[in-house]
Amino acid sequence: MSGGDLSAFQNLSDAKVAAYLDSRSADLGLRIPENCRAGVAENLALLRDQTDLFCDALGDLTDADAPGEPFTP
Amino acid sequence: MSFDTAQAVTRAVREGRTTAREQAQKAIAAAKAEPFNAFTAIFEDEALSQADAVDAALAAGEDPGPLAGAPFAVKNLFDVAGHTTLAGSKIRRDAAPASADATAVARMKAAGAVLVGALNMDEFAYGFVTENAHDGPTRNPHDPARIAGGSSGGSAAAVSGGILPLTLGSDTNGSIRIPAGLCGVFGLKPTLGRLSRAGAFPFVHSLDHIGPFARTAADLALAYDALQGEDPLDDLSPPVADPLSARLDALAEQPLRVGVLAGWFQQGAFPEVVEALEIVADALQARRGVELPGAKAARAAAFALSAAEGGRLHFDDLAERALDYDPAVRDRLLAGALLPDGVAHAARRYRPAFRDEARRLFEDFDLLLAPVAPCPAPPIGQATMDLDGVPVSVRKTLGAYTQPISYIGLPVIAAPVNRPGKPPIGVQLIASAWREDLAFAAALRLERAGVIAAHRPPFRETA
Repeated sequence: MSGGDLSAFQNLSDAKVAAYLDSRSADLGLRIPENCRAGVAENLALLRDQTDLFCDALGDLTDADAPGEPFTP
Repeated sequence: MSFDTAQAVTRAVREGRTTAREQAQKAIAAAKAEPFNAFTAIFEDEALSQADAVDAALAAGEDPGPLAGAPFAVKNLFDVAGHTTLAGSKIRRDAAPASADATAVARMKAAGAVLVGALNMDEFAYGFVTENAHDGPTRNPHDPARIAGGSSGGSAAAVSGGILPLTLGSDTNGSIRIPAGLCGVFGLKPTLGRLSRAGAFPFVHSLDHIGPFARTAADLALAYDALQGEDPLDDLSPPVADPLSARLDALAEQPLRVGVLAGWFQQGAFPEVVEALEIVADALQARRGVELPGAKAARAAAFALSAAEGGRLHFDDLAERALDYDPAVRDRLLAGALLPDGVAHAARRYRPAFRDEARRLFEDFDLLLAPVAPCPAPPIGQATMDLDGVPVSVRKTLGAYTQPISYIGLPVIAAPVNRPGKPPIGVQLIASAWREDLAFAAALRLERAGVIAAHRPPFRETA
């Protein structure tokens, strides 16, 4: 899968997080030290879950090509 | 130690009952002896030189500014000319010294305040605990076995412990409000873009704020006023200053329509946190059970946006020196760096939708209340806590109630509920965008009614 694909990231199973970590780090040229892998994978799984939450709330607004408004409070 | 307010110090300096030098010397001595591990640097020579300039101005009949002679210190992510900006890290220890003061530091000095030192924090402001792997944990002055909160833990502990009357910190997801709440002092997170961030080491550009800590609402207003004003160095274009200090009495009398946020903002809260919130709600005759739709999703978006922007900011250093990061921060930044770009894009796109939900609430309310954190300060070293019976990470959970609010940039005062002899608990006084005056109105009214107060740490009273 493409490491930059939002929906593919959201659909990662727990078992596939480590494979995502390897492919994405290779794509980006960002080496993950061996003793960090477990912690990074755990954080990726948490970020996947959090991403699911706000993408659900966004609904149709998840269109990646839609122009975003500059945010003002 | 001194628990004098900045107002009292400044008045005494102006009336000749003390000097700025004497106040600086007291603060330096206290900072050198402090047991909280709040300070990471003390700028003794520069502080005494600044203090002498304040004294000289007064002797010459000049006005040194509204904070004349008041000592202050800053989270060590603010640039201080001639010193390396560490941002709580190891990897920046060899960085070149800052060539100029951060705008906030320069403005405090221009108001007559005397910079005494730099303060401990979570590395690169990514955390809520100030258990820094390089500099050690900052201890809560109310119970040294417990955390001060973070990421501006040193800033809160220094004020709470009576080292200084004023400090500065930063707040991306709760990093002013959480340590203020856990250490029992006042903290202001202003509207996004209100106060210049120029010269403050960034964490998440979309969400970063800076603000002051103090032991009274009036001192907080003094510092807030000194920090305000336009600044071409900040791309958020801070507006013209709107000072509050001259109208505090009027603000304290201002009628307020107040609501208490329910749902997400009380989910998992410890009973004592809900009790403290109720005390404040009663005092303001607040309407209970107000729902802010989308808060859980907003918190999730802030969480993901922080990882994504933080990971991108640190990408080059992570690629070269990942093992020199604080392990608790490193794994989070590495995961953020690996996120697909669409995560940050989607997280930004949810902001206006959630902001509009909040705007609808502010049609009916001037102010919203929420706890600062689900619990009082946890013990140092405690990795997990129970939330609704589920074990969750302390580092990642303390900001559950603060993150949705900073995500949309609303102004908040974190105020200490008056609970003498008990662990500090803070409440968020949340106003609509650009209405810091309403948060101050509530803080002043509550403080004058004895509902909120910054207490001296108990073990200090018996020392």
